[in-house]
Amino acid sequence: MKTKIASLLLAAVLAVPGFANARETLIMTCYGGAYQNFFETEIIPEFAKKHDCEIKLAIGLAKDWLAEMRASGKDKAPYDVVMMNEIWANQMRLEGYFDPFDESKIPHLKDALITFKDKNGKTSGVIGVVQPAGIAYLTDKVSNPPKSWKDLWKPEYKNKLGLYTATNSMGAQFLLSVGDVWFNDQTQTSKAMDKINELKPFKLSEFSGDMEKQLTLGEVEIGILDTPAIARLMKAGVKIGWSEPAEHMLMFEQVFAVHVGSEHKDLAHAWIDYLLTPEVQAKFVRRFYTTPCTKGVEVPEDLKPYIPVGPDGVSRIKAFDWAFFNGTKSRIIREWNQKIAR
Amino acid sequence: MAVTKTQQAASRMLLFLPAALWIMIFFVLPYSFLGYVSFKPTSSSSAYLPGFTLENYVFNLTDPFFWTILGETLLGGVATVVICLLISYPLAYRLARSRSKYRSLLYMVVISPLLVGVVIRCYGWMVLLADKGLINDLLLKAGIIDAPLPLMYNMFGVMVGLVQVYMPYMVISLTGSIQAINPELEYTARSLGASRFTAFRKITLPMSLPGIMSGSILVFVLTISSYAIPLLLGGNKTLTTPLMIVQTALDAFDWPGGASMAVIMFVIVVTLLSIYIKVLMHAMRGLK
Repeated sequence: MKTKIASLLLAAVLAVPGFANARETLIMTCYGGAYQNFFETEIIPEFAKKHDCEIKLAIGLAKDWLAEMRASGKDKAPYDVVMMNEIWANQMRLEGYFDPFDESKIPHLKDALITFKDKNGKTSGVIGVVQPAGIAYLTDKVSNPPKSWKDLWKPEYKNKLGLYTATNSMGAQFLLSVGDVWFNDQTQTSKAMDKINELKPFKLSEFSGDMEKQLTLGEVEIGILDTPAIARLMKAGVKIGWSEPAEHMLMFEQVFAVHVGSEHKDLAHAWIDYLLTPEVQAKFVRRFYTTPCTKGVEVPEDLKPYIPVGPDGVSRIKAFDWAFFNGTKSRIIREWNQKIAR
Repeated sequence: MAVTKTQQAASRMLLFLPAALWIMIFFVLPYSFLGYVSFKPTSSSSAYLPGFTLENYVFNLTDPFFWTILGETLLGGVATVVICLLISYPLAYRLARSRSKYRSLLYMVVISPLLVGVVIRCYGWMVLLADKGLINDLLLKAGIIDAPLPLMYNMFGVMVGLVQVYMPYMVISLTGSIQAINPELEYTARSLGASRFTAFRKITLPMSLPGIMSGSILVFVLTISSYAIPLLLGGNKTLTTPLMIVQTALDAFDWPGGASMAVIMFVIVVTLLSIYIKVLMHAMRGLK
């Protein structure tokens, strides 16, 4: 009798949809809109089929993910794989939220152009998407575009500029960059802010979409934008050009890392390896006009007018001391509010 | 069977329970946690450090910049309330007294902005107020101005957005209050020789104080806690306390610092509102 009841219970449980075929589920942070659509339609299906798993995207922004990760603690992973800008990833890496990669499980890691190590010297982050950034300008309004960051201080560009707030990763990069370019020290943020003050009046953007909008509307004539955004605007008919600053480029990038508390680490490693494959990298390039950031992937001939920086140009992107920035961020933002945003 | 007093009390408790649970889970617990975090030492490598400190409060309470921004935020709230009240009162009066068959339609028009998201409405204002926006474009083409007027990315732009977004709350509160006043009272006052303005000043205005109170509290609280409007229409150059709290807690990752700012603001706003309610209640008691 007991066996019969047990068999019936088992049969009932197996009949519940999804139970019998419970697949491993991996959660990754992702931005909404085009990124979400791209992952869901072009990237996830192939991997999910091959590994018989489910990839769920946690849509949001880095500051929300970080708050969630901190609130959950290191043992409970709200996300298995994290995708975010290095300015944020650096903070979480220092706090010990990322697991060192098992490099044998990510064979394509050796092809990556930029990786990050934790405080023990183990690789725990890899850049999977690179969007080099420089100086954007409206071609019908600016006949002699700036060629370097220092050029922005030329009187002829007065009242034409758009910059980012220091809370935006591009704004933070620009601030550190000004310190580097003018004072040979990216940690000279107070002096850099005084220097940025000399550029007033300028418009301030909180995110790159706002900068794109301001350039499109002609509210600003010179701004800071990444090459994929320039390509999108060019395709949309905006008369826009782009200069690679002589000193160095900035970038919007996506770092991939595995949460230390993930219960699906093997799958997480496989997923990151898949994202670094030439096939997936090529898809990123074609869809978003990003610069290839793994060896063996080149810019296709038909996309070269829209992707001015190839993989060889990645080395011309400045690396910033995010540990310094994050460690003094509170003071920097407060000073920025008092000096710049008033 | 007679219902005992205990059973009555139990059923009253049951009715009260969902609301009590709701407040406990979504108000008391988060605020308690906020208060707890505000006393934790700040850390640049974790959410906060063990132990407790008053340092966050001392830092903010002695920071002139924090007080400047808080003062501007509260003043902005008061200004928005006053502007909303001045614009909404005649409209609410008209709505309350109207017998037109289009009254419902008018009401819908007033509250229709609430059907569209704040961010979308802000983008609408951007199209109008921007340097190359519709208003500046028309004024420039008409030769009335030589250079674009600074209509956005400043306090003016923020106020325009705040007033437009929160005005329906004031209109709704006032309309209900004015509707409750018997029109005969005004007619009687006028038949006794009072001018239209005197009848309004002595009867309608004082009797609509409950509506003014609820409308102004709603608009004030929504205004000073507004995030999207100052962010989008202020162009990152009009700092308010909520923006500063978000920057501190989420951008700078300083949870204790942001939490202490939020607690200070909460205490000050509750104190100010308590005084305001007390003064208005006193004025209303004088009417009885």
